Amino acid sequence: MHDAPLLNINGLEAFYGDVQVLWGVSLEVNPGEIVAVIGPNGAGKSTLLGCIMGLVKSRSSGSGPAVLYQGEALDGQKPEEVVAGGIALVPEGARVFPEMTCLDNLLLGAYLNKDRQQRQEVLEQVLGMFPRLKERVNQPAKTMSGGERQMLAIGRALMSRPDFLLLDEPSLGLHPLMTSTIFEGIQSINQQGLTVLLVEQKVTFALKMSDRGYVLEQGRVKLSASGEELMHDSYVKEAYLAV
Amino acid sequence: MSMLIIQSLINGILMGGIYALYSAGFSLIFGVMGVVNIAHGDLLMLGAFITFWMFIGLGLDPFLTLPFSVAGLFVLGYLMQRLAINRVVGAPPIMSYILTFGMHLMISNLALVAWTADPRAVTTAYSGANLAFLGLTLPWIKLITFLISLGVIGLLYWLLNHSQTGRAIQATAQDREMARLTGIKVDRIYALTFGLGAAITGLAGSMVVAFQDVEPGMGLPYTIIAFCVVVLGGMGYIPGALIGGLILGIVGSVSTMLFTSGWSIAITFFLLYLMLLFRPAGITGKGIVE
Amino acid sequence: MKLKKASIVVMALALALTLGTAAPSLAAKDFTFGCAVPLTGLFGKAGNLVKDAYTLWMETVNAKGGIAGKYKVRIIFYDDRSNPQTSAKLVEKLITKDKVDFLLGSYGSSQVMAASAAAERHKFPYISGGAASNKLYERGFKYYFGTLGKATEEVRGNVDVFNAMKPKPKTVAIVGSNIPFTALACVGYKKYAEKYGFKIVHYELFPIKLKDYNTMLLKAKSKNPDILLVGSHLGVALRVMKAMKEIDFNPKAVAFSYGPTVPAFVEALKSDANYVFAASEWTPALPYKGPVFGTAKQFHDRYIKRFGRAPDYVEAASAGGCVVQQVAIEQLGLKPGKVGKAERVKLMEKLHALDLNTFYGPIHFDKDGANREHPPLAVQVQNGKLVTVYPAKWAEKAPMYPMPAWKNR
Repeated sequence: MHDAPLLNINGLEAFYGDVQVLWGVSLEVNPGEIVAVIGPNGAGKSTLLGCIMGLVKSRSSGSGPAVLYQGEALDGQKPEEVVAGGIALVPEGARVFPEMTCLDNLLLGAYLNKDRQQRQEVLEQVLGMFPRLKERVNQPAKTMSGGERQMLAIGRALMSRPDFLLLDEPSLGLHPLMTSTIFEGIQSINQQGLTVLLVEQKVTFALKMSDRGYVLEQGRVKLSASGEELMHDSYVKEAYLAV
Repeated sequence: MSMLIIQSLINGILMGGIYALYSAGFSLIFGVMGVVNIAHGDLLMLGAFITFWMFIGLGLDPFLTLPFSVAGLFVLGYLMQRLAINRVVGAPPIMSYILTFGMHLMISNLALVAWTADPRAVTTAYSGANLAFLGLTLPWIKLITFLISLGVIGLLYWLLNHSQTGRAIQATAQDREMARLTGIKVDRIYALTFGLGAAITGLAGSMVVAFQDVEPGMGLPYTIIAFCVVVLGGMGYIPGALIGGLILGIVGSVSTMLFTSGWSIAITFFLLYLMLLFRPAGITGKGIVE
Repeated sequence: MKLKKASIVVMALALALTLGTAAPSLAAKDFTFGCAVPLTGLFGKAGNLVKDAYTLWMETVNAKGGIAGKYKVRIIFYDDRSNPQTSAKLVEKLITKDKVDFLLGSYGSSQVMAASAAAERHKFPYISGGAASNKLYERGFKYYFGTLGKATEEVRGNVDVFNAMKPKPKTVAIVGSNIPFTALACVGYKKYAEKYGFKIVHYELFPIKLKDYNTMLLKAKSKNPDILLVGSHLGVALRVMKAMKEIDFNPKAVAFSYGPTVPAFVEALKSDANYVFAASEWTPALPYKGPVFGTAKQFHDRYIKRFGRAPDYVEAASAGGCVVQQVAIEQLGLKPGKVGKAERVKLMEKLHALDLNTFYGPIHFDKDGANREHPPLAVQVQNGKLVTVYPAKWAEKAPMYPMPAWKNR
């Protein structure tokens, strides 16, 4: 077992207006892990990430805070504060800033880093990681392909030098070859010490590379186990891997 | 005759510069916040009065007062956004019309109470002096104003594209939530943007004083011109303000020369109507249209 | 929308403060006059001048014991906020609620147009010294009187002065903004320019919204006129002067229908204001004389003593209106508390019949209520001061003509 978990979610409840979306979700992510969250559309996966980032109001069904990061409560923090705390999100659909160049998008990722020199160093690292982006630095983001945008979104997230990276369906709409490239990238980032929480619909890909996984259905955690175990779980097989 | 056309073209270009400058502020505020600022011309009026009173009270040259009106209007714009406009960002456009129209009424009426409706003007040693060549005249004040306007628009454009703050402003305009996810405090960016838009508008107002009279009711016509300029050039696109400003200046001036001054305003509005009908994203096609 | 609500409260408060000024008087030994005039808003500044003129008249009369030497004058002032409808409503209120004996006229053709219609309905004589639109006299009213000349006639001095010039200039250009007051001035220019045989080389009415005057005036410049005649108010006059210098437009003279007589004109333009002509209806240099104020010069001096500034012709015309009404009241022997409909009909008839010399000049109303006698005057800015330059018999100085080119000044 690891030491204290990096992220500890305890009885998380979330609402959109009066509609409850998450019901007592508990989950933990340990330093250095890749943890996958799988589940059908509308299960509340993106909401879960939104709660961590401070985009969605959340509360705990028990006493104490719902979201603990490095032992500190994230409940009620604003997104910009959460980002400053070392967490970065790659949102669903990449959401790069379309009218800006690839380079400007990346530099914005390092918005909280006021040191120009450091920004330049991180930029070199990120561009080294994604050579495709290097070729496209001065291209407006809206003219880039889906895969390139996804890379750009990951690169932008990495520019803030996070300790913990959240990814929301990075493979959405990508062809398989590009999906592999993206997942290889994620794995290599993880190997450099970054903890990853991955929300994904391409279940095989996701579970294969994850240390552990959670199945989220209708706002509740249905199952949790190691990636390997989930791959062979009969329920998962039937619901998600059925050919 | 052709000399007259060239002269009217020059007159139009010189006026176009000042139109472009404060319309860039209008465009910026719209582009980032989606707010059509009906009180925009009133900000120009306030800038103009700062310069007027500093000239009268302290004997300061109008061009030396520019930093004061820029700073004053920046602070005012920042506070206006923080205290009021921020509540309608993201709300349906009608809400921002109502709020900024209210602000227009308040500012212009307070100014009327404070300064009366009298038109006022300043005359400096170089007022009306011009550079004459080949039978053409270029008034120095307007020439300098034009160059400053170009410079400031250029600076604004550069700032938006090459500084982290500028990128943050653009990011906030394009995807507010994603901007927050990169650590940008969007409320601050909104206030900063409004302050910046107000500051360059105050600057334009200060320069207007050097060649035109000022009075509390002067604002609204300037707002209408700004609206025309950004529709021509593309709402929310800064270089579009320059293009739109020049077109409006030239069309106004040349049609005054060829037809009558009454027609020049009719033609301007007809042009605006055509643009809204056929090319709502502006001549450049780069405007944001709702 | 918290702010909007707050702003409405602030505005309502401001309005309440400006409204809650005068309270009606019930003293039976006094004559009560009512006056709705713009004290705030677009015409607030000019309206306050009219109020000053009326105040000075009231103080002067009361110092001598009152009308007919025994009936003190009280004036109820209301602020119509430069709104014609409000002006008419306030006149109704003065008549029906405050039950004033007589009315005093307002400032601005639109205000006066609306207010005098209310006065006509109630058969109250209404004399204005601050409105000039020709339309005021085309309504067949019996109770409306104006001491100022009609807008088209007011500007005659500006053309007469050049007609008398030797050698006489040949060509004129006429420009003016297209609001009624200034457009009528242009009609007057045209009428007299044609009458005297000037060639009109350019004529253009431009929108009041026009921002850049340079190109508009460039067209006039290209016709090379001897004289530029401008239908203007102060703002237009300032813009024309600035543009003329910028485009280096050098006619032999430039004349404005209104603007240069306002002190702000010279204050704003400084030495650039020199050589400029303006039409006027009254100056203290005129040999006019009459009851209450004595001579034109004495009125002028009294004004300076009381308000610290010289009166312009609108103030003189307003005070002149008070004088003629006072004389009519005295000649009819009207008494406070006994002024009814029949008395006011007589007053109206008396006003039409009177032929009176006053400090403001002769006052004799035509059938339409316009003041018949009006010798045209022209003033010029010379070394920063306004001096009467036409007609020659009353001129303080000879006109400075032609005006030197801008680059030689």
